[in-house]
Amino acid sequence: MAVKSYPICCVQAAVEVIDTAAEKDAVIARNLDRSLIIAEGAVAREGARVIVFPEGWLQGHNHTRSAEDWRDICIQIPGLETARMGEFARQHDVYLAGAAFERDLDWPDMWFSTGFIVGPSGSVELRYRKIQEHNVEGAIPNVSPADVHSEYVERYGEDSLFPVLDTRFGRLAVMVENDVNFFELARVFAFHGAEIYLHPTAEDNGPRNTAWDQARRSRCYENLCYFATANIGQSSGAASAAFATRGGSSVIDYQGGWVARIEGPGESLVTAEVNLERLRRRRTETRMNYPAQVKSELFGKEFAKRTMMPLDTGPASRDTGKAAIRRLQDEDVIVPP
Amino acid sequence: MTMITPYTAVAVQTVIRHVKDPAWRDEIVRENVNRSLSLMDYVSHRFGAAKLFVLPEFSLTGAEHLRTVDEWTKVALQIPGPELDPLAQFARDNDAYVGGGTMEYDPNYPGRWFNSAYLFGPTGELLIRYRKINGADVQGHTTYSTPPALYDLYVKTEGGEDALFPVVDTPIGRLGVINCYDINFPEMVRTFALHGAEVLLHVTGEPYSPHRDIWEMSRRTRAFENIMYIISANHGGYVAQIAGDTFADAPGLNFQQRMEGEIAPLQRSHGGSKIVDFNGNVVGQSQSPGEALALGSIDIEALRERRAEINGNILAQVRSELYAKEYARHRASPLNRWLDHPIQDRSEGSLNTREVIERYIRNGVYVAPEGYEFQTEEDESADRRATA
Repeated sequence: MAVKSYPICCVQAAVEVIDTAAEKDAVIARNLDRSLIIAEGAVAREGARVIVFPEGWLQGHNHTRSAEDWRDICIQIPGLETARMGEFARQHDVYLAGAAFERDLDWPDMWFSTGFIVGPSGSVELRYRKIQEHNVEGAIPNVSPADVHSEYVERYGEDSLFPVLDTRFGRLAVMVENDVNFFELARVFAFHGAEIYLHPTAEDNGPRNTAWDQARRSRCYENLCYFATANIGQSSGAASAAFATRGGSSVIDYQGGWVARIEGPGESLVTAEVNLERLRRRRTETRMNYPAQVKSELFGKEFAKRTMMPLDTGPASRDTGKAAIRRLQDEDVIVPP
Repeated sequence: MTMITPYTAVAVQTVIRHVKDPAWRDEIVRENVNRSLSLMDYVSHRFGAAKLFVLPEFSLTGAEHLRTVDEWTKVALQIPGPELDPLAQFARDNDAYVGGGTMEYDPNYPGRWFNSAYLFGPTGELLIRYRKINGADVQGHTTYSTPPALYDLYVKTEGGEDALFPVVDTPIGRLGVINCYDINFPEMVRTFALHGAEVLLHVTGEPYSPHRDIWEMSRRTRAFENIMYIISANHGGYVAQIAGDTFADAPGLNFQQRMEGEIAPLQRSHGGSKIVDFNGNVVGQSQSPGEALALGSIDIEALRERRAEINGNILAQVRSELYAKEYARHRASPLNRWLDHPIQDRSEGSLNTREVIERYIRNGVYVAPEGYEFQTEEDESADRRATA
């Protein structure tokens, strides 16, 4: 039986960054303990039922990491950390979501930024690997399932790409950080039934802040869904500016309006209502019902005609993105300056 | 490739005289055209030469939502056609581009009318004729046809699928046009980007409503996610025809007389015409309804430089093959819904969407709220004409 409305919480975590791989376990344990005790506050005070943590909140970002360092600080999902979260979820009858740098020991050369949900069962109930990954920009040497699509689908199955978890708190999906800028991905999740998008993120200050906020709100309006975004609040580490990330964790409703929002960076949390029943009513109205009105067949055809970033580009390198631009220029889709 | 120097674009926010009585069509259209030309002339007197002018949606006739299809085929204009000639002439005289929206009748499609847009170039030649893709077919407020509603016939008649998404390569950049509600479908603007568009003209007609602030956001998100300029021209007002050449804003009319024209408020449009740059920032806008001009600078070279950088370059990062597959296997609003029988009644559009909503509930895409009562049969009548 679905709950009609419930509080959802975004934990804007203060993250201790893993600076040397040897400290990995201790740092992760401290980050996890800290975020769970804060989450417990949201459960105790506000009755939060779904709680979202930021992207990379267990491990933090350090730009001086080598490719090997990155692999070394990865966790497994499921693994020790999600087991610890599972105890909490079972104890409090809640869902916990976040994103972490993850390596699958069956495929050890690859590592992903992986969103996941741990449920009251105590287990990992959803695992989603970030698709619109920054590796194509050369920023981080991880892998998107799209980079290794054929093998990925062979290993995990086609359905593993866009998982949606059906719960009494609505149908939950996870999109990670940069994913939010790609409406196609949000739409595909809607096609798969998603109602509440949990969005672990790690967003720096930069010239496109406002655009990202707008994109987040647009995703809600055009898919008639909720968004719960948890950004990193602050970082401490040898190579980290404390307030490099801009906070702004928020809950957004299906009209694209902020239900609640943290105005700045710093360790914080925000809890706000998700009205699932009202969302479901809204989705039965015909006017401006975009997921039902979209001409999927038409756009399926159009999108198939033009490859933007191809699949199966292989493990990432900076050239992947540059090569895509050159090809789009060669095909005369974009004009070189 | 020669450099394109920055130029001025103008969203021309007109107050529209509404054709209520078809007998006055020619006079009222002429008046709307003339007033539009005056405002465009004013730009060169006051601000210097502009290269690109955009007029609002159905800005020459207004939109009489209750009019029958048959009557609309007589009121709507043809593109090109004599009524639009003065706008083409202006483009020629001013070495400029002039785009806008008009209700359209095309004898190739008897029994139908379109909500269309045109773009004239500096030779006076028609460069683009675009027909609105999203609107009456899913919303249920009026009866124009959309190309997807008659997709197979349309593609055959127009000589290909690209006819739905025309983009023209000009000395001021690659231009495309969309119409009003289209802006809320990100797929629309993406498809135009894939057809090469750098500047998208958005002819629109947006009244005040709870959704308007969100449409503002849509405009900015579309520009950001496609690294594209969007020039959005909205109505500044929409004045009802009372009788003959008397309009609801004529001096001396009492309230009752105004009501005889139309019950809508005089200032039903929110104005807010604007120019959004490729970062999603507003670079020029009208802050109000009423007649207004929103001017902004368009820098195509800067856009091209931005599109050549990889950081944050959404266009070069989209995993399009992955999504194309998912779109293709999903069934939302079908093509060819009105292939055999042109839409006749405005309720058909909302029925179309109702059918999809209920199919979604039955297929588990949507979850029904408590107590929801189905209005359509489970035989999936919406799919009868779907080609998928």
